[in-house]
Amino acid sequence: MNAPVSWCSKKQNVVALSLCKVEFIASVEAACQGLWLESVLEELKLNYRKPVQLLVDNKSTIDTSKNPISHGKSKQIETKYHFLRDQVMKKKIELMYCFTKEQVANIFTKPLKQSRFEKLRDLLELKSPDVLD
Amino acid sequence: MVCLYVDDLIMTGDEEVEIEEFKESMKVVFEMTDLEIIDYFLGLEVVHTQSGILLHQKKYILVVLKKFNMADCNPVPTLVITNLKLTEALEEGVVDASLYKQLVGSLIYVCNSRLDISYGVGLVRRFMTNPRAPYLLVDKHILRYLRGTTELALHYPRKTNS
Repeated sequence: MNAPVSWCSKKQNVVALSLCKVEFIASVEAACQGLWLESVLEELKLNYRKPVQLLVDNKSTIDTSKNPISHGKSKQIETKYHFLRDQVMKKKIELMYCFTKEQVANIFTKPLKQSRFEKLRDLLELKSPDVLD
Repeated sequence: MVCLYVDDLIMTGDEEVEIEEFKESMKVVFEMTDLEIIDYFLGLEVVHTQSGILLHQKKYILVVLKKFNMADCNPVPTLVITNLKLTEALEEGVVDASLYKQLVGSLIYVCNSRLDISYGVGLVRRFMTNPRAPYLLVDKHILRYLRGTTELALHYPRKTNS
């Protein structure tokens, strides 16, 4: 049972030098949103699966969030973005790997070919009413 | 939970009795009509079906298409062409800034139910201060995409026991 609740497509306001860092910064933003939604669910006293899961299609991003190794590509990640690592350690957020092909969020990041576009659109529960009935 | 916008109000809760009580107490103080189950709120249409709830803005999209003279345009299957390159700070091809802003503003509102267009809208809204003809073409491409997909609705499936 999946349905979108909140979404956003924006230009990153920092220049990133590696894909890992790009994904890392995007994950931080998503984590903030996730935590906010969690507080809404808490207030409504609804049950949900803890911790909040973030699906990321980059393995080194997930590794960086778990283990603060500083080398080559990741050492320029600013300290403020390590908010994510903090939340992961507190078990408030969990980063999970997902295949790039299955990453629905890609519809928000680049122009896609018709087939991919339509597939992701469908996964995001945007449906034509006649298909449903 | 109550949501109020100027003179429109929507509310929900898990106790039907409480909802009724609240409605009655509001009717005493204010003059208001009870439209029962929600089907239209600020351009957002809500359809209740067997499989769940559908949210769409078909009426609004049609109004936007008409307003920008695109009601009879040829639809396109995708939002943005794949090898699109937009250069910033173009000197030539100045277009009417207020038209551009109105159009982008309307598209941003459509994003409320149509998340598939958010990437394209995110792209064109960066040029609001300095609109040029090539960006307007991207806008029109988005309108043509909407023209072909006015029916699409966000689906919130009903919870099943299986």
